[in-house]
Amino acid sequence: MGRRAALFLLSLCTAGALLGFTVDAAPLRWGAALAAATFPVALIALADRRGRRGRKGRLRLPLVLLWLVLASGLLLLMALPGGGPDSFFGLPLGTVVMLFWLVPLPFLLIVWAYASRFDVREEDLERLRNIAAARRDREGEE
Amino acid sequence: MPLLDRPLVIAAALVYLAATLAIGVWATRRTRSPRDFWVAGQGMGVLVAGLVTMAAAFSGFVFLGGPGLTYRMGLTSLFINLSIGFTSGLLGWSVAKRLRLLAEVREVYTIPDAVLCRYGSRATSGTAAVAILIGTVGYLGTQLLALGRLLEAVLGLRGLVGAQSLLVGVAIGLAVLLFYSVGGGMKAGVATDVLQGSLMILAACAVCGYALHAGGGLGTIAASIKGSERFGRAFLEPFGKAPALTALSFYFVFGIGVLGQPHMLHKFFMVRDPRRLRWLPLTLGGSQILCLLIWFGVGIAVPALVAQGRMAPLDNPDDAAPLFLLQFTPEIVTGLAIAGILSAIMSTADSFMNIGSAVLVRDLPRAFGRRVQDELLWGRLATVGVTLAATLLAALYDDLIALLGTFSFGTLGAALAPALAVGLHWKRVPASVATASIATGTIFNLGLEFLGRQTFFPALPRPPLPPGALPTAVALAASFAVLLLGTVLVGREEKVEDDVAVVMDC
Repeated sequence: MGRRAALFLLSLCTAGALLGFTVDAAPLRWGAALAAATFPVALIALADRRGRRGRKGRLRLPLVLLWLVLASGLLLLMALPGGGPDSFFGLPLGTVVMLFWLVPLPFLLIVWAYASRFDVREEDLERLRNIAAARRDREGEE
Repeated sequence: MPLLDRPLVIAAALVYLAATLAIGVWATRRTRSPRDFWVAGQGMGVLVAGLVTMAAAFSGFVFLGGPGLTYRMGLTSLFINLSIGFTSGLLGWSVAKRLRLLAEVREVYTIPDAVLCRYGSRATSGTAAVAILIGTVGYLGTQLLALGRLLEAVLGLRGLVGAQSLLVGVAIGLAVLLFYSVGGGMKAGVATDVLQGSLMILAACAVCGYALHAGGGLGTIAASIKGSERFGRAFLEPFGKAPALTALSFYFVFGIGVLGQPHMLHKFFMVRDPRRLRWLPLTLGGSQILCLLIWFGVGIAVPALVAQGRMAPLDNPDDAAPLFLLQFTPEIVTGLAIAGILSAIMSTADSFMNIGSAVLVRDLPRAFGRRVQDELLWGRLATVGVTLAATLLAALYDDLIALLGTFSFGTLGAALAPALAVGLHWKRVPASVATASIATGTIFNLGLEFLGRQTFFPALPRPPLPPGALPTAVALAASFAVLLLGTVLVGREEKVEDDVAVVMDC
């Protein structure tokens, strides 16, 4: 996802959240739920937009999966009247989704995606240190 | 809070306080420069970074207030924690790497330092510093009050000193906190946070295990709650005891607002090797999930025990955790849990003491184009000043401080999250728009909360929000809206200084 697409998504989420939390209308509550699920995905997409060629595709799938997990979980909670039928341990299905879907799945997904995608290398740090040294020299001369 | 003055509990509390004092002595001897004082000499590994960030983030609220909130509003309260699955990764992607790399090229010790580097504007940095100071006073005040109340109950101060017991409890806690925070600064803060974070995880896991066992297992707990008239099935439902909008507000504010919490972000400057940030989501998120077990375990077990007739209904929901510990865990586990709760309170407090003093000694003077000559000395003095001011406010305006504590997280999130999470990745965001966004988040949150809670001026209107919507959620969304819309309207590709531009592109 490019920067423009990430920012467009972020703008939609912001509008959805603002309307959902300020206007008393049932459809807008669904919009707020969708915005809450999409916000983190849009922010991660914005932060990761500058991947090197070939690496971008590797994040697209985790981001889509993350969005599917978060959006499906939150929308399911909204859709289940009274939390849905009883499920594991006698808990309502919605509560099972909260505890065993909305927390562990995003965590595992995001830990894996972040670690496999992380790309700060020694040469990057060396470049930064050189720039910092040059800046200090410049300031010293002034 | 019920009395907790049993021999092993008192011993655990005293051993814990002595250990933090010892660490304070050790750290004070090793604190020789402002870099040591503000960012612990930038010597942390990523495991420690995860642990201390968790310890700073989770206050006594997780251990005491969380189970109480669950008793009051059912499992809807868990929406506060539901975003924990993605927040550690979001922090890593959106802010941790950029902030740490900024500290590689510039002398960046605080969040307003980072804002100054990114936007090149003292006004933006100063506005961020003011927002942080407001949040700091609120957070610190509530932590000191909680610390005083806990020590009052553990040491049996009511019986010893009578009416002044809370004040004495606050004074004891304050003395220990000031001892290690003034001398050792963040070096002591990090060292004690490692001990405190470990204790928090141990205590949370142990108490959660005891809670589920005491209730008869998750299945029996659920059946007891569903069969009780007092709680009923609604207690277990996601939106059973509160409007869906409240739950969604919790999820949004705690999921996205986390990007503006200076006591967490500040820790990223201290990581020794930026490459180790690869594992930050694992260490931070993992330790947070483990720590939250106490909220869920005690939160769901206590209503079940009340429903089973094995505990009396609670007059004050915040007594859920202390009463459970007294009645259902061995004394040694109670002692461990009390040490864990003290740890949670003190680790958050020491972070805010350091951040508050940095605002006074470093950030605000720089916003006015001044520099303090001896930052280390003045930093130590400012730590005392900020702490005493928060204590005084806590003592004089108990209700106001509790109120401020509730939405301090929201104030910080609404003020700082957009300017950092978007601004560190989009060069077009101008300083003026970032300043407006920070001011919007701060003013909206304080204004809406004030209008919603104040009773002094009957003529003032209530905030026109739908039932259940939290003002903090509106403030956070408004702050993002100002940043995005303002940038589209007036922004252009800003001239960011070379080194900062490289960090933003890295």
